Amino acid sequence: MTSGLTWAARSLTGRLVITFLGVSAAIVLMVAVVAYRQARSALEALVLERLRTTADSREQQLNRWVDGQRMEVKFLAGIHPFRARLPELLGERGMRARKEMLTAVTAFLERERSEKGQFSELFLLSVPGGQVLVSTDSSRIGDYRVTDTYYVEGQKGTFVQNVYPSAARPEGTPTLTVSTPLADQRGKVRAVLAAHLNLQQIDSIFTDRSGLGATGESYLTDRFHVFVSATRFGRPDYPRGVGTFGVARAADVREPGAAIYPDYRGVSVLGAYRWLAKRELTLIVEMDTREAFAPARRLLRSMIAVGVLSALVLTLLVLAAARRIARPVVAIARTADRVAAGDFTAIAPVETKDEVGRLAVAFNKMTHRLSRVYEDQREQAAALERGKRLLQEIIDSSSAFIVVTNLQGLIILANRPLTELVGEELAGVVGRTLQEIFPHQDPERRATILSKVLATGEPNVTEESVNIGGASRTMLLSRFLLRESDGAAYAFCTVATDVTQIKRGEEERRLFADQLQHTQKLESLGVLAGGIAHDFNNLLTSILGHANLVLDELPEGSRPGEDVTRIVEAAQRAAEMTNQMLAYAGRGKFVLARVDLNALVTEMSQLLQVSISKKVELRYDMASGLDAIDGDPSQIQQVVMNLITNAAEAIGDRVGTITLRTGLIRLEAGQQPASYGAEPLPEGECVYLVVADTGSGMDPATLGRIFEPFFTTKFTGRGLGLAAVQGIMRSHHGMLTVDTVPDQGTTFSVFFPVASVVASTASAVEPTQLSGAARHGAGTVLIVDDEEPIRSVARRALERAGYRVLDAPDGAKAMHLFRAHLGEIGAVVLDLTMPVMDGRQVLKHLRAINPDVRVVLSSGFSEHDLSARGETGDELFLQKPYMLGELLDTVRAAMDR
Amino acid sequence: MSRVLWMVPGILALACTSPTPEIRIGVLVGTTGARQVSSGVGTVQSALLAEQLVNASGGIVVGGRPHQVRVIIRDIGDQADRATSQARELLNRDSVVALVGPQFSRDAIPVASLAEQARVPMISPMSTHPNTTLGKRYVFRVAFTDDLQGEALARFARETLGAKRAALLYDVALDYSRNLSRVFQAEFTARGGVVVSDQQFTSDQATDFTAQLTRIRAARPDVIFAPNFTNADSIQVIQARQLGLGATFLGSDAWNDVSLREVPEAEGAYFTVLWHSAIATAEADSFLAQYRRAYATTPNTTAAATWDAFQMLFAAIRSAGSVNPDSIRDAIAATDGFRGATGVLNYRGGGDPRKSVYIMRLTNGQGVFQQLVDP
Repeated sequence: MTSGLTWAARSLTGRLVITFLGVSAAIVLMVAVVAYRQARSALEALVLERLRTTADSREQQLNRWVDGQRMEVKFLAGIHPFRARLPELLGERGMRARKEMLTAVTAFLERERSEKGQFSELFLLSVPGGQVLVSTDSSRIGDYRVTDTYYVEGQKGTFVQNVYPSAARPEGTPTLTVSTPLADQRGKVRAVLAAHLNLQQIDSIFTDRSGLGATGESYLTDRFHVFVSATRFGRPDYPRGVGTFGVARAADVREPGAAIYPDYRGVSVLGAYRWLAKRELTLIVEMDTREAFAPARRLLRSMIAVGVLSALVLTLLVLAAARRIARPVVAIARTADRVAAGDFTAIAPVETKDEVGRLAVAFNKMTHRLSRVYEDQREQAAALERGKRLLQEIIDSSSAFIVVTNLQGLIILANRPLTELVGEELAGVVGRTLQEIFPHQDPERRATILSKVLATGEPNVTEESVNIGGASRTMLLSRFLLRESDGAAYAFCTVATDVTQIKRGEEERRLFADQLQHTQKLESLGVLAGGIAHDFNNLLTSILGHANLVLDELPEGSRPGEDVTRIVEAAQRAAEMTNQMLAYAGRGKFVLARVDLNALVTEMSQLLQVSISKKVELRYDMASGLDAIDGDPSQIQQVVMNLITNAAEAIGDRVGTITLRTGLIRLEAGQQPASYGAEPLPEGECVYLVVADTGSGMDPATLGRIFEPFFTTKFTGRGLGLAAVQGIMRSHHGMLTVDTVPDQGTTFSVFFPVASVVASTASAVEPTQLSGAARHGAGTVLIVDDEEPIRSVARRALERAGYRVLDAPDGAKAMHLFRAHLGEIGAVVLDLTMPVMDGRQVLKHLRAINPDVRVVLSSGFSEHDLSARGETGDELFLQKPYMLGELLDTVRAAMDR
Repeated sequence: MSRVLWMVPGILALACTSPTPEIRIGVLVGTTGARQVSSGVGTVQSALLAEQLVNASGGIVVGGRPHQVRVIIRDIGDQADRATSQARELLNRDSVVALVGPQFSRDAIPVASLAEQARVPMISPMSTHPNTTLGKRYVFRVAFTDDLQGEALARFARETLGAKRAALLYDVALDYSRNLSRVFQAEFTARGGVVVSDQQFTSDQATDFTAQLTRIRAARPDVIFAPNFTNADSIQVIQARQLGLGATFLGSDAWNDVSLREVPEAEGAYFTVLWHSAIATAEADSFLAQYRRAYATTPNTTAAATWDAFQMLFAAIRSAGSVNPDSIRDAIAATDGFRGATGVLNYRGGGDPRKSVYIMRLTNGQGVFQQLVDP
């Protein structure tokens, strides 16, 4: 059954057949039911009409019958024996006559009863007394009926007592009694003739089934619903009567009618009922609906049978036709199944040339095109997928964080750096909001920017500091709209590039450039200063030398002597200035030694005191037990002097205090104070020197320039002091800081790293001050210098001291002289800075000729400068400008080696 | 499905609760006609009082629900065929569960047949004729039977009054009178007495008894047994005295001391009663008090018997726990030791209680208790 239904549901033929069957069945049923109902209603009207007609005839029959009996009784009363023989009957003519008369009358009445059969009992009642005188029922004789209605009424005239429950007969049998008076000759009523009618005769009227079919019946009930029928009365089935609808309507409401209702057996009947007022009875005529409507049912059955049969035959025809029609369609459907399963090679058979055939052809074309479209689409999809993957790979490979949100703020795309940043898979972030993923960011700011982007349609690029993983990162955030092809915005894309490294690199490059610029400035200054200093020193050497020569010629205390002394002093100041310049440029004379800063300051205290105004108090605050530092003592002295001088000048003419403090401090990495013009010190122990004044202080503009050479706030200053300090500190790898508050004072601090454990050896010889006598010597000295005044003054000084002097203006000449006087020359004074062949080349050649040659190198540059180039050996060095005494001492020292 | 089933008890309950259920009891009583009036008033008053009081006390609880009693009273006049018609009316159309009445055997006997046929219990308070209950399962009475009454009067006449000669004067058309006379005659003769005259009349000839009384005077009786109804009795007593007839009158329970009070000629006559207001028991006093409170008058015997019929019926319905007529009938038949105003009622399966007969004497117009004759 189920498989049949499934077939019906899935098969075209099945559906056609089922639909046809359903429609046929519905039509057959509908027609049959309508026909049945119409037939039934027609039958109902017909049968009820027949029942009413029957009821009419039964009523007339009953009335005729009762009237007949009434006439009969009246007629009997008029018969001779009663009227003439009443006195005998009543015993007025003697007992014998009465007895005879009684016998005769009894016989007469019995004959009447038995012959005609319409009376169940005929009897005579005496008046007065109501005693039964004569009766066809001998058991009743002698009874008194004095209060019975038919007795009372029967004395007045012929009376019909309608059906009543008899008080005299057992169980109150329904009784119909006719009574009539019997009068004597004088007209006086002496007796009543009464007859109980035989109700079986009524039965015979009502049991007649003519016109009532097999189940039809008609009957009477009294007003108490009790059957009035000899055969039905007293049935124990209906102890309290039959209260059917018909009986109740007729007996209680006294309305005639006809209807369908259950009868006294509970069987549905068509019934006509009426109240017979004259007889005080109900008349019921009923027929079973089953019988009444049997023709309608037969009609229904045959209609259904014929209908079903023809529907079945038609169904078979439809099935055959449907199969024929459906076969090519089914073939196409199977092909369609194969195509649906992906087999584009399937071809539908073209069996006919009708619509189905065209369908098959069209289907095959469609399949072919579909297969091409399918291929195209697959390729496009693959291309699309590749494109998508490419895009995803590109954005994933980007170092920037890329995220796309829809206009509602939900993430629809994110690249791998972003998902890795939040530690989620892509699927874990899609559909969430940025606020959920980056709870620390400011949502209002983002919302403001996004609404601006949305309003203007312009991309927004901002640089934001973002906290990622506890570290602050600088992000370049680029936000822009993504648009559909029609221009409608559908998403925001945010590209966040981490520019922290770039920023830092830029900063470093800037710093580096600044430093480079500064270094180049120093370099060029150094070159300039060095060049100037060299020439200055040559000049000063010449000036000093000649002044010294003049001074030696003049008597002590003479006026010219004093003037020359002024020249010497001025030249010395010029030399000092040159030194400062060289120091600033990092090219000052540099003698490396272990220096005890405390001792150095203490030695200078006298000098310092005189260098400052009397109004200024100089205080010392020296920490004991300082570590030694490596440095050039004279340069460090220069630092101290310059700082004190600067402090004193800041106080000026006012009363003030300069505090000079030393100490030891441990610098931790990253704790270095801001330094001016020098690399910060590496971490470690430092010795510091602080010079604090209570002077005028500086404004930031002034502070920014104090280390520039030749910047000064004073008319008299040369503007090289602090620049020199800075240069010295730089060449000592030390550090310099300044604190200043305008009108309160300035504090300069210098820091030197503590000396390394391995002591550096001082290569410089402590210049020894020789006595005048000791300066005298013998031997030949070769002077090589391109400056003629230098050569001249040196020659004169040496010759004056007793040396034989050879001189050469350049290297070639010097080589020539050296070879020429190889055995004679005890020392060579060699200028390092010469054209064509400089001092170093000359020295090399000299050593090639005589490795033991004693050389005093002389230069306007510092020795440190030279040694850094690794070109000095055990040669002595004489810094220009020099005093002639120094020349002599050095030459002597060289000779003595 | 289940929801529909659940609704069924609800619908039934609704159908049952809407009107207070009734117990319909039919009363057949003659309230019109010459002899019926005094008996009819007592019957109607007792029936209404019983209905009113039981309903005032909450009705009768049957099956856990209180039922109101509704008494349907139908007048049967003094015609037996009217009694049968009215009985059919009550049984078939009013669907009563029990009948009370009729009081007179002439009506009670045919109605009993209908009740038996309809299988509805019937209690006749006052019918004394044996045929009323004879061979019937559904019919009961409160009164003693005529057999008991007739025997008691014959015994009283012979033994107490020492009468030897008795005359009979009765309505031959009336079963009651005829039967009672026959019983009296049999017992009186059996105890050595002689019935010297048997005089009859019919109901339609009940105004002049001179002929019968003249024949009785000729027979010289000691007592005249006249089991007739009050209107006939009065005439008979008066006419007997006018004829100079001095014999003692013996009456039945059909006699009524109230109507005879105005008849001085009846002084010294004896009659039977089922109950008399002068006989005090707790139940009788209670009934008397309630009746007097309701009607300000003293109830007669019919009222008392009717009262007992109702009380016994109520008790039977309560004990049956049902308003089904068959169950009520079984409960009445099982009644044993019911203490009524007229005495104790026991049925023990039959329809007749075993009751004693009170014999009263008319003294100064009042019925005075003379003797109790046990069955």
